[in-house]
Amino acid sequence: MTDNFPGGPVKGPFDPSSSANLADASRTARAEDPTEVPPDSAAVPLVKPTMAVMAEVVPDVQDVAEARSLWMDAWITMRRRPLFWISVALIAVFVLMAAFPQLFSPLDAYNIKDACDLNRARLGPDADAIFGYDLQGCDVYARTIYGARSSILVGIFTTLLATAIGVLLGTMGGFIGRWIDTLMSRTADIFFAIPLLLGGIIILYSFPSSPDTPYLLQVFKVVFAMAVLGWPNIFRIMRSSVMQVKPAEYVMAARALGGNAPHVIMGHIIPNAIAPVIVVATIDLGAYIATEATLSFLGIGLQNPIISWGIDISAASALGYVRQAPHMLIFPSIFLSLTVLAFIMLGEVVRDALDPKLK
Amino acid sequence: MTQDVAAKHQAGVAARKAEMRAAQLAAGVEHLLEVKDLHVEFRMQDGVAKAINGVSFHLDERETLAILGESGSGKSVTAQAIMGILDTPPGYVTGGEVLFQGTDMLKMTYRERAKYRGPKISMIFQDALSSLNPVFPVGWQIAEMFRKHRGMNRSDAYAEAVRLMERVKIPAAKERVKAFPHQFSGGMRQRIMIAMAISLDPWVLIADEPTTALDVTVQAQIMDLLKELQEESGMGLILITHDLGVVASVADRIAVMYAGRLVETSAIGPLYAHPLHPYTKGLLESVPRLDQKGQELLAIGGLPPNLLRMPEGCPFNPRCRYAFDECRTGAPPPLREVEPGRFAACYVAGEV
Amino acid sequence: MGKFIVRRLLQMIPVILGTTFLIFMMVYALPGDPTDGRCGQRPCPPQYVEAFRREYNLDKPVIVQYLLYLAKLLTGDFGTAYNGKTVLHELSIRYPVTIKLALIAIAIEAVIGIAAGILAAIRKGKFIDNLVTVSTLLLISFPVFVIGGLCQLVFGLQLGWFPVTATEGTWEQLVLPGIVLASLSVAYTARLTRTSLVENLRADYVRTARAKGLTVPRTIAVHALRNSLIPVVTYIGASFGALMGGAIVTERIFNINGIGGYIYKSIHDRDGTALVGTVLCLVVVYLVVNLLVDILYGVLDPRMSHD
Repeated sequence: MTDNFPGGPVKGPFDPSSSANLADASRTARAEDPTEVPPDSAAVPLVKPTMAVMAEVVPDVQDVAEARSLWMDAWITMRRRPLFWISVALIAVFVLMAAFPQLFSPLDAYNIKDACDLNRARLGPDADAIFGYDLQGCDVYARTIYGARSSILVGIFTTLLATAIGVLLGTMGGFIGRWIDTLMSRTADIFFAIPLLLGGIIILYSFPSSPDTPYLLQVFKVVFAMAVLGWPNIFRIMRSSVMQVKPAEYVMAARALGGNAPHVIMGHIIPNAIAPVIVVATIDLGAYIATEATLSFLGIGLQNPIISWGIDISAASALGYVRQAPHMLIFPSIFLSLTVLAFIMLGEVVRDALDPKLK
Repeated sequence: MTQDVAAKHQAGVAARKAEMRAAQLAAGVEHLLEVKDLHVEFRMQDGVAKAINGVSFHLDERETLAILGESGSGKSVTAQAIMGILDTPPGYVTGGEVLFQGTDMLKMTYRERAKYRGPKISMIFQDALSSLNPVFPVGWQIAEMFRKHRGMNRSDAYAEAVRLMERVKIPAAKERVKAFPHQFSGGMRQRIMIAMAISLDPWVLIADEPTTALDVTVQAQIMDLLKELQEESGMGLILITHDLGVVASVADRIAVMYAGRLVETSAIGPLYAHPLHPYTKGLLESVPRLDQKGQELLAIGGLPPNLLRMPEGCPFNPRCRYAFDECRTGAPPPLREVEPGRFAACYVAGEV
Repeated sequence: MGKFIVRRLLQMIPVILGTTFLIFMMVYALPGDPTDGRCGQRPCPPQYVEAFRREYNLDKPVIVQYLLYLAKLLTGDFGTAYNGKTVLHELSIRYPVTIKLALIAIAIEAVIGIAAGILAAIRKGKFIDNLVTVSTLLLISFPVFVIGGLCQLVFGLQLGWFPVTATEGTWEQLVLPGIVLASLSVAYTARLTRTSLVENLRADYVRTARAKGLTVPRTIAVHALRNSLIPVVTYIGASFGALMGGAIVTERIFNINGIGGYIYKSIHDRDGTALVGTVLCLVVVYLVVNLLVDILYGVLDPRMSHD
């Protein structure tokens, strides 16, 4: 219903100003490539078998080289930008934190006996606990470190799932067209029409977690809720990107040579159409982390005793505590925001590098 | 608007212009518009592109000057520099004069110059669909000229817009004055562009590829309209094109541009009869002609030079079949008078 | 124009049916006990389960269930909360404060967002442009509840510029929550305005406007901006979805007794009917707003609606 204006009804996770032209990114870069084959070269191989052999080599080299040179150019641009390295470093730190929290905190935050002491509840930072203590007297630093895992897991899995669905359906819709495309686009419209947070609340209400639900199941529920609502984003971009790549000469050549559909799709279409999807998926990853924290903040996402920045911020943001013990609020807030920032920043740097025109 | 009133309007304009022209001549101003040694460059990330390198020409009343060249030769940039509508940055006028009735427009402030655009000098563009604002009715866009330059009220300005749409022969002008650009055909849209450009009876009209985007039949209609308007008002017309066919029927004089320089200027007849510059010769040979049916069509080999890496010597030398050592070193050959009234920038001009 | 509106209305119907069906399936028709967790902390009493199954026709085929459910929605029946009052009643006493909050947020979003975007676009590459780019990146990265908490701490408690809570929901109290609520959309609005204006300033018709001898302010403000604002205005309308989500968080932080606060309360009290009814109501409002935005788009861009 809203495919007519850039960005559409934005669900929060992505930037309408940037996605509008993203689908053009790979195409533009290709059009300006001076090494591009002249338009008639694809028609030639059909005539002579000897030429056909050549053409089989040529288009392959051509489009893979194009896809590669697009990323090579982007890489050359990116590696000169400090923002790229800052975001990569931040992401590396947070992923490491998620995988091996013990590297950062000698105290195991899940071990209540060691990490918490009710006598110290809400005390400010001291030499033992540089971020202070929370309501239960737990070490805020340890909890903040251990909270990274939930955010990173949810962010990565949601992005993988939403991207997998979106790329699969988007490629099918864009490549096959006809009623399959119509059906998929209309279905995507319906999922797209539900705002992420509101839809997430409904889904998680239908599949509630209780405090004794296993950790990974809780994470999976949140992942599922957001991926179900998030895939249309990727679907739309992939679909239009595929439709732009599909008429390209090398795809025509590959098809004319009798390349079967899966081969053409995997070998030619997806590599050339995926760039804008990667950009949006990276930016969305940050947004999913923020949304998970929001759901947990509202008490419907992950449940205590799981350690999540959203839960901790929620506990800390009761008015009395904000006044009395702001450290409980500030430190997890900073970590959460930095994580979201790192992914969104990376996505934007990649986007700028792929399509310098937008800058 | 009856024919009568329109004619009276034209007569009034002509009289006013004649008076001013007489004053100009008395003050010793030779030409209506004179461009002297114009230089324009584009400052970009990967270097400075010298788009215009010392272009000079002039234009008189009732005269049509065609500026001919491939895309990238600098012809549109020249027009935009004269109008003062270059995109700055990246485009900068770095030298020269643009004299309108003896006054150098390059020395004016933006505001002073803006007052010249419309009443003195005016311009139409290649793609009328993208050059008209998509969200305003065409009548509004024409009327804006009267409202902003003459302080007319809305309804009077609209009446003027209808008069102009009639003058450029748009059928049912009164009914269509509130329609939007996308609701017109390509030819009609170009007529609206023209109506807007001539609305304040300019002395000079610059037409930048006015017919390139149109069908062949419509092309002829638009050229006829321009000619007719010129005859009525006596304005000078600069016609920018890459199409020799369009030039032949309309222009009085022709200036051929290549890589930001004039390579040949001449009256139209002699140029067609025997071109002086090898580039002009190449252009003429690449036009399909009925009387040479069956012969091979000759295209000029190679591509225009990259403005960031101009070849040494004559910029045309890599593509020129007559080039010799001197063409490949030093400064480009200067424009010299090869025959009376005919100039060419080539060492072998006229001998080829 | 009339045809355009009708076409949009018709395109809207399957989306409304689809979303309500989706939500209905999820909440009522999936295997499992739909009354689970509807009655506070305890399991529901059997009479309640019985009444609930009857109310939602859970013994009938799914499609009939859905149609009857849809009929209820059309008459404004969004269910009955656990306290015995209808959801519609609960919403009717709460919506004024939420509307106030949304109006403040949209006003901030429009005024500051567009102004910042214009400044950045006409000073492209200069200091102000970089400032806008960096600050919007930060606003986008900081979740609403983080910004809310920090604003409350800094501007409410430490500096004392604004009231810390907005329990009564007066205009004055709602300013700070409004700013917090607007923070995300204001960033997107600024970025979209910038991109759109930068693009339009390069457009051919802007060159024409200069060739017409118009002043620079008029060229930008009338010719370029009029076109650039088309996607911006429609985005502001569409950002309504994000605003409603944000309102849940904002109203919880500032203790505002509006619809968002009600949703939070329903989650907290595990009052399922109230929660689903309210959220569904918001989704429908969002869809209707989107329809209006679509029509507005047609009004603003004659290419869309004048054939």
